Amino acid sequence: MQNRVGKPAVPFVLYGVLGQPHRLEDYRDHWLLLVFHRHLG
Amino acid sequence: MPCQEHLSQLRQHNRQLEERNIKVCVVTFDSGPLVMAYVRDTQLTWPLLVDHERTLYQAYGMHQGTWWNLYGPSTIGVYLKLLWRGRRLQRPGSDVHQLGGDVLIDPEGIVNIQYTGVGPADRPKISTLLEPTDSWK
Repeated sequence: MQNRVGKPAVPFVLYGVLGQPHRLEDYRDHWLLLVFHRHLG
Repeated sequence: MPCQEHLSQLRQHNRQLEERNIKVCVVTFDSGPLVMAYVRDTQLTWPLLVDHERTLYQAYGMHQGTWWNLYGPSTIGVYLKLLWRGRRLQRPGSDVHQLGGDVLIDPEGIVNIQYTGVGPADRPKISTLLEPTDSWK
């Protein structure tokens, strides 16, 4: 597993439930907590 | 269910999250009706982002769990506890082997915490997630 602690976060563009894009850079100047869910069901 | 418990615990610290300028995004690999139902049923107020290809999951080392990690004693113990508290078991709707985790990124875009759960119930403590942000209190 690649440990990225101390390194730049992986850039992403992911879409929300209504299709709106979310980019890593949208969260600049904030702490960002990504909670990776297991299966939703 | 353990993921929902983790999110529930985070919600209980919502005021601290706001005070520390922490934004939360939940990432899922599921899509379609399952996603909409989840947001509705859990009244999730944070963004739920779809990583259908699991690109970001893999980039942060969240792969498939082993049989022992997914169905072993620690997992059984967690589910029994949740059942005892009145939570209901649900039939899984998708890939139950995909591992989850938490990644905390600072305002300059640097990863401070990268935590991959080894099993369904393995999540960092909320205090662990908040610790790097102490200077923002």
